[in-house]
Amino acid sequence: MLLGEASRNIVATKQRSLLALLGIVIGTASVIAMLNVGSIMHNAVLEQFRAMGTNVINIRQRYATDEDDPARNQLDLGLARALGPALPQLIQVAPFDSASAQLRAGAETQNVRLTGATEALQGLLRVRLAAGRWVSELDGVELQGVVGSEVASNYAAQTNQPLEVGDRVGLDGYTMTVAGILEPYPRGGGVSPISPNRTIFLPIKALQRFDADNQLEGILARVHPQADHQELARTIETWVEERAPGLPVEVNSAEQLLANMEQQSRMFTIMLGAIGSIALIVGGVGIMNIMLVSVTERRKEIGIRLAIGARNADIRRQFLVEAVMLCLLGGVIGAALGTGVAIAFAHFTGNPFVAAPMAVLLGVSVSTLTGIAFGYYPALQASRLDPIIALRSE
Amino acid sequence: MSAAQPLVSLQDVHRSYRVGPTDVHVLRGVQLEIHRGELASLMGASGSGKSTLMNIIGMLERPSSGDFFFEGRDVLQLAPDALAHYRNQQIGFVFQTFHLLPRLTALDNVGLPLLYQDVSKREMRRRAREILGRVGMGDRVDHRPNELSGGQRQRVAIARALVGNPSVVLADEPTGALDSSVGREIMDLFHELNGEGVTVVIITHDPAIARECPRQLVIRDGVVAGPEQVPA
Ligand SMILES: Nc1ncnc2c1ncn2[C@@H]1O[C@H](COP(=O)(O)OP(=O)(O)OP(=O)(O)O)[C@@H](O)[C@H]1O
Ligand SMILES: [Mg+2]
Repeated sequence: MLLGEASRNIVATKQRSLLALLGIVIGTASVIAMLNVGSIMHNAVLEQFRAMGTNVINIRQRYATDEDDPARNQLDLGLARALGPALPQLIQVAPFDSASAQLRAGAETQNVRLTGATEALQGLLRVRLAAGRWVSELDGVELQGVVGSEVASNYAAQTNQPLEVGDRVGLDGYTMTVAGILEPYPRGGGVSPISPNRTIFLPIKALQRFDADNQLEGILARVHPQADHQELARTIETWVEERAPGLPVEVNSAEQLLANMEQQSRMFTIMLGAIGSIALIVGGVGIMNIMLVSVTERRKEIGIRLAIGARNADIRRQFLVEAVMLCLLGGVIGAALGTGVAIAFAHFTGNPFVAAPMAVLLGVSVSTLTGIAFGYYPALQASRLDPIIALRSE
Repeated sequence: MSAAQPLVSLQDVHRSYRVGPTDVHVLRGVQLEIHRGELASLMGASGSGKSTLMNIIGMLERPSSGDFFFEGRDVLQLAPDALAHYRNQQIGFVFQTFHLLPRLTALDNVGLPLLYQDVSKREMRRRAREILGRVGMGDRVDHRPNELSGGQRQRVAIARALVGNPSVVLADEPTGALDSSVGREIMDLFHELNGEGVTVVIITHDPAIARECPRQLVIRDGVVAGPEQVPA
């Protein structure tokens, strides 16, 4: 009866109600979008590191050193080989280099990334072989290639036959033997610039045919789980400076990347939270306003109810229920809208939508609380009306 | 002192309103007893304080001074919630302009007093329907007030006053807004209810209506007088 009447009164004043609801809708939508976007971002960040783990760093040269300087230092294999033994915090060190080439497939070709790899890179990237083997030290400068899953499937589509281990394929002017084929690799490589699916891995010395200089693309290293990444980065920089003065290196750690990403998503969360709170306050004031108008307009009704035995608390409850129902209505619409925004966000950023489990619950309780907070004063006003004056008013 | 305890007992009741700098002294020492089963009329010039007196008896308004006992209970000592409870259980109001809630059907209007009691919705509807039948409105339960004539609205309002089985029905000019034939029907209804034992007090400006009540009260100069002053 109480709920039925409250909804009837809301329907009877729908234009005004809808206007006041707008603030609640926007407020709740922001809160829900905020929570969902937070959870989408969080998941995206975790996804980035799922494949490789978070205890990986990448060391790279910031810019090329002067070629004309005979004494110049650069990030090369020699440096990479010395790094592991020098720093015990590094469990695994994998230098890599890269180039690009055309892979011939029948009459067609495809552009592929080439990554020069050592044996250690497989364990660092945690790539898995669908067939064949990984590159080996013993391959030397031979063109033995490990083919990424997308490259292999593109090749199969172009030639109408699957790529198999032992196949010999044309790579620019050379002929490469397929040593292995990789399983599809999960999206996101954390700090690694390598996308295994679109890459052919070659022995690092064989890559020299496509990329003549000695400068490496980078050195990936797995770090001891207890190591402090920031401190380690400084240690590496000092070590490089001692061994190869003037070599500009940069150490990217997963932890640092994670922190950056989290900060970005936190900024976004704070912004939406601020919009949400402001909208909720504006909406709440709107609700308060229409409830006060409603109390004034319905003075006679209040007088009648008091005359037939309603207690002050009954009147208060009636108007409070109405305010809360209004806000809840706004909350439900806002929850739908906010979820829609989050789904759109997930779509445009290319991340999977992950619903924040508490979002809808929180959105609904936030709108309910707004209703109670801003509906209480008008309800109190209603319950304090003098029944005689209320009855005499028309 | 009479043997039976009076239902309503007012002693030296004063009521004044502050209007600007002056006090308007409306009731100046009202002495009044109403017993169970009575049918009384209350007359008086416009502004003489009839509605004020009615609102005091109905516990909507407090006297400025004096005593008010209801079935021997000192009403003026009751807390607001207890007063609401009394209004709900003991008093049935009928107003000149009906005072029905426009958005509710006749059935829900009549059931309203039961909303403030521990009565299930089903029971509420059952009793409202029964009372509506008793006042001759059994075939109009789902109508809203604006779909009813004045006389029909007043019947619904009387049904609402009766639904909680009150000790006394207070009617403030119940026929004032109705034409005379419809007013006649409403008066017949009050007589009928009184015949069934309901105590009724009717405020009226119509001497004919006043005269058909067994007890006739007149308010003049702020006090209630007996029947001898009723104009012929
Ligand atoms: N809240 C109030 N404030 C000031 N004066 C009031 C108030 N209520 C009533 N009065 C005054 O008290 C007097 C009595 O009012 P009341 O309504 O009781 O008269 P009444 O006998 O019912 O008149 P009517 O026959 O016109 O209904 C009037 O002069 C009125 O102006
Ligand atoms: Mg009056």
